[in-house]
Amino acid sequence: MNEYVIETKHLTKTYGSLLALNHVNLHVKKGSIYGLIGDNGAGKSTLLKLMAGQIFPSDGEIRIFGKQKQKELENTRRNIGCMIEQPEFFPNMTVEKTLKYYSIQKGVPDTKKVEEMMDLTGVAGKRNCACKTLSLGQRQRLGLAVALLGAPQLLILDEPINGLDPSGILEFRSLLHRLNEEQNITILLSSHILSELQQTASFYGFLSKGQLIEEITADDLTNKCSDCVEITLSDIERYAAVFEAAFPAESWKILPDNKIRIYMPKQNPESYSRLAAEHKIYITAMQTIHSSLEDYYVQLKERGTTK
Amino acid sequence: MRNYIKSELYRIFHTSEIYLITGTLTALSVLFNLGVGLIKTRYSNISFSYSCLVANPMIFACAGAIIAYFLYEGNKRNGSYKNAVACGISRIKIFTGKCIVAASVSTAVMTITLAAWIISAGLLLKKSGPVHLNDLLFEVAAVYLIAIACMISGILCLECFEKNISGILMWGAIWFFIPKMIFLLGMHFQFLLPAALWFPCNLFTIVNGQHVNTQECITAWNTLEGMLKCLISGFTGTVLFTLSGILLLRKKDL
Repeated sequence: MNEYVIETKHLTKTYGSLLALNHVNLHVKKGSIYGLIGDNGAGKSTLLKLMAGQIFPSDGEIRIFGKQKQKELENTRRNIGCMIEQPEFFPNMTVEKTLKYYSIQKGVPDTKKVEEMMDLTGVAGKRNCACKTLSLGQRQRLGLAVALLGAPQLLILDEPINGLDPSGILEFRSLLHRLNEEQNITILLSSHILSELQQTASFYGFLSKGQLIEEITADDLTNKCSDCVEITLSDIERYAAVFEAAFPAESWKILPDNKIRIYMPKQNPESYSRLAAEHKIYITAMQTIHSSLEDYYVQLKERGTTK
Repeated sequence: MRNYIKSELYRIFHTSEIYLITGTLTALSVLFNLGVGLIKTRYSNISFSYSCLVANPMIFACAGAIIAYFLYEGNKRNGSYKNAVACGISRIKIFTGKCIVAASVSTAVMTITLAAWIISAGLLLKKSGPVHLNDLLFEVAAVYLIAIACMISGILCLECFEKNISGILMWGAIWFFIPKMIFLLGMHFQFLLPAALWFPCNLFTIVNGQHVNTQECITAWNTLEGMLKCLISGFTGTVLFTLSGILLLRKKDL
């Protein structure tokens, strides 16, 4: 049986002459929380809309739960809950009626589900409020409630924490973990708030300019992010030149204030100080930094640009 | 599709808009007849009241499209179309579902409005003149399929264009501007005229024999041939716009 809930092959989407997605090969494992990372306009929403069937690919394949044909995909989407872009609802309909409307549409016979979803997502207190009176955060919660109706096996969420207050973000994070762990729901979510994704996802996909530049597990990412050496030197340009020659395999970057940062160092830090001493360059400070997902993403993007 | 239709009916009957439209149309019907009754002229009779509808059958067609517009104009803005697609409902089923729902709801609203018109005319106006209830009821039968076609084309135009105003203009062009242009061209190029007279907005004109006023009531549907022409025109439009919707919306990005 296929281990991937979502798999794309050379998925491409163009809007006229604009290439929004370029040969994307995405792999979302069953039971994972997959975080899609990318700048605005990187193609995150386009990719998620393709998964939700809201737009059609220009080229390439989409497999969801192993199904590929359009008719099969349409049937498969009944097992998916989606919240793409800002959730919008009928402005004059109340929260409760909106959920009832979608529960009928999804063929959920149990009316208790509506109550359950309102309690779960924290919109029960607003049940009789018209949707037009809801704040962005409340609409996000209602969007999630709609997505969760019908017991989906896969959740696709686009920027789900936009507009949520800090306590809402905490609740949302724990809810996602609970859904993932207790109900084994696979979750594909996008965000540009990387610190949030770092606390949620178990897999990451980095999108840049329509290309999926890397897919990585959270464990691998932690390993890759763990070692980062930052050295402050008396002559940064000379050191950079000798460093490049001595350690061509290292990944590094010059920072302001005569600093150099070496990502995932392959050498012992002593080697770097010895090199400086050999060339009569003084080290004024040296420290090991635990780099964040942001650092990794920036580095990855730069590598992608220089390629 | 059944779930989609059920959910749409739930939405329509659990929001105030449909009651507002029905109430307004019903009130306007009664007020019109009341006005005609209060202003004592030679027009203060049932015949004049009925003739306002019998002489202008396209009112029914337009009313169907207007109700469909009220039901679905916010479809893109409120995300219901996208959500339905994400639920695994195909675009064809959504389009067909919308047409069925809009047809049922429009029929119900127009039945209530027409009943209010007929009852208020009967109660408030005196019985005289050439236009009778039969003419009005036969008109409904003759125009029903045309109204359905009009409504389906309205939904299609709203779905096809990003902006509602573009859809409305296209709908107006399909139902009024283009047929009138063909009709005018038909005046100069005779071979175009028979085709032009099949378009509903030309079908109910004096050229096709329709003549309704205070003296006489000759309708386009009061002969078997005329009635068949109305039904065929409506049926063709219904099929044509349904197929166009299926073809155009099948692969449309949202």
